[in-house]
Amino acid sequence: MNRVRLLTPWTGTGTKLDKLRPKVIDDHPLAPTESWSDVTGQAAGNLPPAPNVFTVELVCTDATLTALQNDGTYAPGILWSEPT
Amino acid sequence: MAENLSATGSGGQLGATVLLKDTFTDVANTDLSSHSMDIGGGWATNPATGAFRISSNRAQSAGTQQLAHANCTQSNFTAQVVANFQASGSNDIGLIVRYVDDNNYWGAVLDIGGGTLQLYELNSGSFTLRASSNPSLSGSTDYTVKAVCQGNTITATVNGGNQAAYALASDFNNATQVGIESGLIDNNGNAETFDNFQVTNP
Repeated sequence: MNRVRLLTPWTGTGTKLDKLRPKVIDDHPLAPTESWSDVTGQAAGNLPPAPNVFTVELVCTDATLTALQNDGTYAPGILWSEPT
Repeated sequence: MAENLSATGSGGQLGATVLLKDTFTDVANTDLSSHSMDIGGGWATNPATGAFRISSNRAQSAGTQQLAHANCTQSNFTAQVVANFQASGSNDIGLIVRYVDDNNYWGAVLDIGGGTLQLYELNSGSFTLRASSNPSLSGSTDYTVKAVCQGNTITATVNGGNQAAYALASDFNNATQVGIESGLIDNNGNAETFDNFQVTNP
């Protein structure tokens, strides 16, 4: 497993079935044992942010990390990663 | 009256004081708003009546997106409930913590449609996902959903694992209401049930 901090836009309308959320978890749905957390603490009233980019921390498999590194949308926004 | 588990050894964390407890033991079809908790002052529900009813000594949701909450008198606590969803499709079922009103609280819920444990913030009526994990979920199965609220950190788990945590939860961090939430019910009229609700010191 790996810990990864990366930049992602936010998406969603804020309804119960379409919660505001990082877009990366739509584009790379969590695999079993994976998780993520918002590490910005941005006030809910100011989401999505402008410019629309924020930091989240993922706990993910090697396969997911590789997929992110090969995804042109997210690869430039990977701030760091480390094995856990 | 609070119960000290260090004296009873009744299955909770040793040394923890039980602030609220409900095994939902009551006559069938009793409305949760008129049901007496094992420990605690009782439930407030939305809608005021008909949100949950007792069925087979469990709390069963009677509609979509129902809420029930009770005052545990402190904002740092550990809450847990056994949740069982019988419906298919998208559902949020689990705990609400640090409830202020129907538009402001935190949720630690199982999202059946997405197959995730979600920790979300409802703030001024807008839902924001702050953390999630990916447990393996299936219908008609009991899952223990737990939320530990300590200062600005809320940590949610299901069956003791698949942690979803948010360390910047400053909103509503003085709120002392905690409870249960049902999600959406499928077209077959199936419902969700809850059992063994308990709130202790963190």
